Amino acid sequence: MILRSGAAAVAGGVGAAALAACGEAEVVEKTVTVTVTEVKEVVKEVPVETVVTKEVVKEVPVETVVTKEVIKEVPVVEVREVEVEKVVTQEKVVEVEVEKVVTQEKVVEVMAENPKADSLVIALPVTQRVDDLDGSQVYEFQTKIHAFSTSESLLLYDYQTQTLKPRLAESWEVAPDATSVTFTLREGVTWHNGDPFTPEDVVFNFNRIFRDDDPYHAEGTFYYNGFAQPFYDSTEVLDARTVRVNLNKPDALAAEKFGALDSSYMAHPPSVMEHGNREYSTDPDKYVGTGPYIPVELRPAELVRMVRNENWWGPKPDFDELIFRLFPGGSAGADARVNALLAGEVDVALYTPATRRNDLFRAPGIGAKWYPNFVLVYFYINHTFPLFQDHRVRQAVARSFDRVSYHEATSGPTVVPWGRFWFPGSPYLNDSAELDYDPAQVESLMQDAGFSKGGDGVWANGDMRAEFKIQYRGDPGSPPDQETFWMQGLNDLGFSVELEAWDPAIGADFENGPYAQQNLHVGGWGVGVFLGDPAFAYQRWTAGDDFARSYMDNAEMNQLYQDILVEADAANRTAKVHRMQEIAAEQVAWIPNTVATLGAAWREEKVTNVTSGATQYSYPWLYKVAPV
Amino acid sequence: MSRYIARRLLSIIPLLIAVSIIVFAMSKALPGDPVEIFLRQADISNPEIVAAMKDKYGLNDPLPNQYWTWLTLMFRGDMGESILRGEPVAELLFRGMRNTFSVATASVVLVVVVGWTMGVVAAVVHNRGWHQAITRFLAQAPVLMLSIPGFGIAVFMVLAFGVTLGWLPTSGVSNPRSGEDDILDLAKHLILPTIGLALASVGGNWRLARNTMIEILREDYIRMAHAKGLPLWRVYFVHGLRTTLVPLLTSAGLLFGSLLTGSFILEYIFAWPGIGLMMVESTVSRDVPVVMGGTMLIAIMYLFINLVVDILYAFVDPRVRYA
Repeated sequence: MILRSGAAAVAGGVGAAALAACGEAEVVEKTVTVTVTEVKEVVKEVPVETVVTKEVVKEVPVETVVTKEVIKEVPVVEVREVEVEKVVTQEKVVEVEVEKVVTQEKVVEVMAENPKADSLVIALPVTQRVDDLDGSQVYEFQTKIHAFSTSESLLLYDYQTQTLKPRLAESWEVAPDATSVTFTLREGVTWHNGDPFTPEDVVFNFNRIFRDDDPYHAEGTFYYNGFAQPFYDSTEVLDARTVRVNLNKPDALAAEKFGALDSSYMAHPPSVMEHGNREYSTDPDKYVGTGPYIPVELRPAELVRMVRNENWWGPKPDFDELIFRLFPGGSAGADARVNALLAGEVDVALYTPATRRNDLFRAPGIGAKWYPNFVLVYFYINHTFPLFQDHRVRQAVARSFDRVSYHEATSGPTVVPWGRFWFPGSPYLNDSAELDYDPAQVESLMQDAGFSKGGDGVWANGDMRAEFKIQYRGDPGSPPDQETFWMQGLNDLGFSVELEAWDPAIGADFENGPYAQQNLHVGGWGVGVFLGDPAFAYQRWTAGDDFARSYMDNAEMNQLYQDILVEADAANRTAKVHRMQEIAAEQVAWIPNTVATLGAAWREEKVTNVTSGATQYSYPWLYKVAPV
Repeated sequence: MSRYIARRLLSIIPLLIAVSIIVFAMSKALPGDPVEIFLRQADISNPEIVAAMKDKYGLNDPLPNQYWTWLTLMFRGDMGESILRGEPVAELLFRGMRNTFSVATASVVLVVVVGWTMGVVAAVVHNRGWHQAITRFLAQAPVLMLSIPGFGIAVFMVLAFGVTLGWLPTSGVSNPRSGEDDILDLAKHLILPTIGLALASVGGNWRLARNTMIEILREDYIRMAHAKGLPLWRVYFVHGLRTTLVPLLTSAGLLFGSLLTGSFILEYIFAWPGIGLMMVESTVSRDVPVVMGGTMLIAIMYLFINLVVDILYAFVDPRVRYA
């Protein structure tokens, strides 16, 4: 309805100008209607190339095209012809106008039907670098949620389907020998300022991110480029839409690393050259990206405001504006986010704390869910500690933790207890490689290892007693419930276990701290799994890795890890990963505990589809406005 | 008077140098390497990256060099760059101080307007035959305020006035949908944190004002003023109040200083991005440049506030100038 009247108004204006020139006021209205209809017909028949260009239209006002003199001199029939011809010329004007009206019309309709689409306020916790907009320079996971709404990579890793998806590149191909990856770029992508996105931009960016000697690498903080940098050699433009990344050694994950890894995000070359990496990434006025939203305001530690990029290549996001409201990290910040959601000050709260789950589940009009996250939480067990040098003792310790009972009792649906070595539902998961709770097996494993229970009920084998410490980060006066529960379970099964706290400040001291070989017995850690691939996690099972704090040295495992780094064949690779998990379960590479979750809560009257498209990261451009 | 002020200003310099040495020594005594802690959080342990980052922040230099570099740069306004946030420390501190300053100022205003006024009123009605309920209320109310912990009342207010009733914002410094310079919006956001922060101090100052004023109203010179037939308002508010102000000014000065750093818990509850919150996070994460710059800034503010209080003293009590 509005579209029709809008088009009529525009066409009416054009027709009225022409007819007013004839001085026949009474005919005007009738002719206006006819003009609109005819205009549409003509447009379809005349190829666009023959129509005058937009610039010409802008330069030549409609009123001056149809002159008084011409119309008066030409007979009526010819006037009609002239009018038609002129209408073709005017048609471009009309067409442009109509297009605009259509766009506005849609917005108006959405607004009229659903005023909730105007803006969405998302509460995020941040503790560190809150102000990065350039995805390749972002440090903190939470900050990526707003940075990835404005900055884009060539591919997107979909954590729900655990597959790569096209983004700025439409397709990709890893060479059979895994020494290069070729990306075919999407057509018609533009930067926020209207510049076209080109293969040369990709070359600039990969050199900027992965070459230390590149002049535009300086000042940049590419925290996650370490995964791809050792493999990077060069990038070359093959044609107007294709680039090839050449590696200096084979890498089965070349597409993931250069297409979708956190470091591989595209920055606008002229803006980086003009302002430098830091200024570019932290000032919305200097930042130019390609993403679905354009940053317009950044108040550090307060908020980041973005408006929809109307020229984005993808499906139009529902919300006109995204406002990321920044809260402190930690438990009090988490409480504040939940309170703000319950009070209606924000529409979505991300990283909601499990401790407030009952408040959220009970609140009317609030949706809440804890999504499995691509983080495995586990305990290290030091293979070189005398008691743990026998893998059967390690298995007995691992099988003594009743993780299901503990987590169901304390955390409910906010935690996924998990005694395996890869994520549920993934083809990489070897379901038979497990270290589930099994007290009967604990008994037989210890007996097989030559242990028997002494008078005090503790397992002993000669001089060696089953005594060790579970070490945890925090205050000696208030040990965590989980470690206390496990300690009690172990003691009930014949072990003699104590808890030991360590100062967070020395946790990173791997030479002398709690994770040093001479100090560690059993201690907690966790691993974020980038892009859902085991190669990013299983390096911790290989001898010599900085984070291999179980101090396992298994020749077959070490070799398998090297193999999966270069094995491009999917079936072979999966088989090798399954074998690695078998070894991990037998040797107890670590003691699995949980799959971590990320909480999200939202106002159901305002938004749906929260976290759609990802589990580790939430993609706000996929959120949908709730129906009226 | 100007000599007095100059003397007080000069006395600050050795104090500042002493503070700078203590701050630097403390930062070096903290366990844990800030760069390694920061990078380990991102699973980065490459020694080359660690060394480069240490070099960037001057952590490989000898200690005296590090101290001198830090001191000279700081007095030029360059406090370095935050390891954690990658921003200039001066900008970070300015932003945090601006937010904390607003809530601390509002708290001091609340203390002066409510605490001092009620204290003086309580003293004036003391033993004047008013209904006992009123005098008891005026005497006991501050005790009640002092006995309720600020964070407890803050959590209650958030749940009652924010979540349940929806009258006031639960957190933050502004409504994200409004502009940055919306003063009314800021005032709304200030109400709950200010009450949470100032409640105990209101009680303390109420009690202090009441007790001091009662004592002063028993002084001979007040009795003399009554005997001379001066109007009551003049006796109380000119002769009595002026002397009462001396301890109250000291209290307000110290309060303002302590609010600048002691508001951490309230900032945490209300997600108020102030300097207290920033300092605690920076200390836990070993963000040494922020800890050093922030501590120096707070020390300077304390000294400055003390200076202002001393000067006000001299105005209120002329004997101070000549002491």
